[in-house]
Amino acid sequence: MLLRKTLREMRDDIGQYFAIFILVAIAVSMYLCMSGDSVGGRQALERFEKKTDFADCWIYGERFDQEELEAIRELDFVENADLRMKLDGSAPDYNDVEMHIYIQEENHINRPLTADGEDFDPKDKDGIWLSNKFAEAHKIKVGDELTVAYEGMKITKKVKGLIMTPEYIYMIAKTDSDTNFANIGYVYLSAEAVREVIENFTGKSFEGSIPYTQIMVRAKEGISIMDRQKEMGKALDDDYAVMADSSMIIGHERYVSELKQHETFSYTFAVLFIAIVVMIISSTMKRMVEKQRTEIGTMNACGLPLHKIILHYLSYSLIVALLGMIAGSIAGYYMAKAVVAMFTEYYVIPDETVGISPIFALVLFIVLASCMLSSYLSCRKILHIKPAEALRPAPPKSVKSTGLEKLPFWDRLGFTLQYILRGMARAKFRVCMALVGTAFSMMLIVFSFGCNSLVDQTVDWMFGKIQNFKYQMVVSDGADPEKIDDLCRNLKGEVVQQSKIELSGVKKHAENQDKSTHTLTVTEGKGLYHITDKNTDVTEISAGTVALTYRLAKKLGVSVGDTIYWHLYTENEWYESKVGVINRSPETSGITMLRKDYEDLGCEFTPSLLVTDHKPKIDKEKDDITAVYNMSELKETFIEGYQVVQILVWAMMLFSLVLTVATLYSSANVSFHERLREYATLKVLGFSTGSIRKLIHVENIILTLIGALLGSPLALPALIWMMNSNGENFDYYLSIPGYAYLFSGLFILFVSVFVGFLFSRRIRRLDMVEALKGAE
Amino acid sequence: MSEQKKEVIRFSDVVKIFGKGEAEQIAVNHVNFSINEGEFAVILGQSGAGKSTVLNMLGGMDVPTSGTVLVDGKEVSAMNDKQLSKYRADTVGFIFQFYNLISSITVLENVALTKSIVKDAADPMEMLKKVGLENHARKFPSQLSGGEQQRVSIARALAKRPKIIIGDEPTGALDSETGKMVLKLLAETAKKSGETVIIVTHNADIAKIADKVIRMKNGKIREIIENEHPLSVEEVEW
Repeated sequence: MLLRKTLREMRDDIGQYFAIFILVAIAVSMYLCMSGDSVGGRQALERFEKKTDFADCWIYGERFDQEELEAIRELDFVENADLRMKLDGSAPDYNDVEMHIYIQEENHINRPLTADGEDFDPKDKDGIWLSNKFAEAHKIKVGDELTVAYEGMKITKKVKGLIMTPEYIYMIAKTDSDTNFANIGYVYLSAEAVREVIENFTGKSFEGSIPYTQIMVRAKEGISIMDRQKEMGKALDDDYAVMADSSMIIGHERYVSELKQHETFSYTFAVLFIAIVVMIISSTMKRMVEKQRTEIGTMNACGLPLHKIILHYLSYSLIVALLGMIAGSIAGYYMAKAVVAMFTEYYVIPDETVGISPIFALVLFIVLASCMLSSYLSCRKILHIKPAEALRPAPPKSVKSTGLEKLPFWDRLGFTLQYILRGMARAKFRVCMALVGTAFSMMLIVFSFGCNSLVDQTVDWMFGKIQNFKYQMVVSDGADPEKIDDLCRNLKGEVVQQSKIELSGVKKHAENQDKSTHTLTVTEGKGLYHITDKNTDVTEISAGTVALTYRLAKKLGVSVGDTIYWHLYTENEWYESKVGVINRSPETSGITMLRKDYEDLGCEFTPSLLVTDHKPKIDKEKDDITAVYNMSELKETFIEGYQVVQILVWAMMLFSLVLTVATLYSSANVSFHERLREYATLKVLGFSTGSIRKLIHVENIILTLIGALLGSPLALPALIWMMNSNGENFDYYLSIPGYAYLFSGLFILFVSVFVGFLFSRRIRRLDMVEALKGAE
Repeated sequence: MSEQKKEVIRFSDVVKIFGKGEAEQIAVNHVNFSINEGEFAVILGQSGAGKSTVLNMLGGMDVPTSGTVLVDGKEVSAMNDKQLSKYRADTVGFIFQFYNLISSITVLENVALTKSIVKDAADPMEMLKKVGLENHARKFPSQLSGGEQQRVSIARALAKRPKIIIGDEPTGALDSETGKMVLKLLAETAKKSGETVIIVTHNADIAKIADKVIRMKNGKIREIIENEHPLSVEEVEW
């Protein structure tokens, strides 16, 4: 019986309950969407790592031998270790795209996972194992022949298996700025399979011609990374270049960072939405229960047990919250599924599905408990009133001066403003709810405008200031530097080297905690490849110094005039350089120096890029150039990389729209019901529908303006927080243009006016006789 | 020979039915009456007699199912929402049983509200002086007694300079003495400004002070009495 009462009353106030339903659904779906992807991703990653016995440590050096491997294997904490040779080769039959060639004699750890065909056999002489995504992009099947090349040497083998490895969850070709699996692949070969080819090509023994450059280690649990790296260093007599853990494996780390970012988002947004939902439910339930004062009194007087009355009133929020949670869970699941599907276009991870963690149950519980608690508290208050008293309508609230009357301009404000301001001063909780909701909406919408302009600003910065050329040529690995120099002279261009380095602000051969991996950029200072200062204005590197990127300098506590220490990833020798300028770059972290200074250190300049304003006529075979891009192509692929940001912008816009409508509608609805008698009186006195609607409009506009003012300053910190959570390599020059605030304000104001119009019909149909009945 | 007074209100064959089908309820059943300008009229009847429904139709808060309601020559029963708003604003002053003051604004502002409704509204402070509440102007309604609140309500009604003043049990929530004071104020003030006053009540004693008494029962008019010699407020007791 009471359930029917609940349902009928919910039907009569469908707008209010729908607003709560939508907000609960959004809170739950947002959490599930973001966490579903990250939880599922973590579960898939764990499975992937377990199946492949993923390594814990990678030791890079110029040359490792069996003896050193054994020394590592003998360490107590080492579960197993393998030697590996990595060659940066190409696939000559597929436009010479990037092909990483791994050669191993044994494969105990980091075993590639087989997607099709046979498992990788490190003793097999005839086969080659190819990355499944490359095979998919080029329609290569198990049993087909594949040729890979390295510095003119070609190896052709039958594809015996298609594979995946956690080291290549994310991969991007040097020639690309966005993932394209057709342009990058990797293969696994046994040493036996390549021994003859290498010996024939080099005329030397296999062991003497190409060295093993990596040792992969899998450690037992219970020893810290620091301690094990110390021990391994000792075992190798410190004769190694870099010791890395999985956080330094880009193909793995990028995915882990993305998951972390999603986890942070899922908690933050869900908490904010839940907070707003709880506020709206509290004010709605309070209003609803107060409206039913006499009914509660009657039920109480008739002897209905208190718990039944409480349960009845809890059922309102229970039904709405449950429906919202069900709808949110379904929507969230499919949204998470779409996100997972989107990520599989960028990441290679098997069996990634939407994951649900026990925390999701906790989130559901918090939503439900908050909704019901707010109802319970409202109901309990009335149940404490004696039935005889509760049977009569509530006496009018005792109203005193709000203090606003002391304002010098108060008398000039007019009835509408005085009425609204006093009402707002007396309905603090409702006003607070509306302000928090609109402030958060404003923040979201300015934030999304900021995201949008960020892409444009970054493109201008990157391609208008830093990369000041028309064509970019990617130089092939192992190209003859002299030939590249000749080509550069002919094209009046500039050659640029980009290499991976380890860098420390403390000392040479720094301990692991004092060094990190970054990029070294070497330019010729000819004005085609610039650096920019803190304000993103073009600046120059003084001879004999290096430019250090802003975020890195901040992290290291280093400023102009200080010394930093670095070494190339592939070499053991450390260098020191004086910081001449602090520069900013959107997607690179590290140092930039002039070619002359680099060569003066005794380093060999190996160009990675050749940039020019002159259209090149390139014979790729002859000129050692693997790819040529013009500026618009570079911009296009750069922008494509920000596709996720664009999706985020639209999602934020949608959420802010829903949030603004829901909070302002709820606030106006609560206010409407609180003032129903007053509106009826005004109508009886001769106020038109428009004049009464004006009261709702003006109040909504005031709340919107204050909310917008409160929310605006939060947008930039939120944007910085979000973009910085991308990782230390990114340094966006974050500023939100004035028009973003203006458009956001106008948008939210428009929504506010729209909400006001939702009440037009109700005001027009306001039953004056009914509204004025029985008031005491 | 007494001067012929102008008819200001006419109800002609007015019917008001609430609900439909089996739930249909005839609240006002073929009612006919008229009230002249400046008259103090009382619509008398017990609960459910239909008197408030008549008052609501007269006040432009409700429309008849059939029949016509004419006020000052205008057919109120044929007006649309916008016209009714204007009618309530320009022609009618309301006094409610429970005062219906806006609780969040001061006494003076409640009266000053009329300035937002009609152009030639009276000075609110002057009106408060007339009802003897000028010293309470800055107070909020909840800080006043019931009688005082009703006096504010009268000041608000009169401030619009309406053609007719309608009171729905204006003394219903007040004690006898306060009720008489309120009635006196209403009668005297209205008389001075020549306004027509119509009061709905179940209190037969109040009828004694009226120029015209319309007695209703079960939605129908039982009798209409023209009081040749109405009593003064001081002469009645309840």
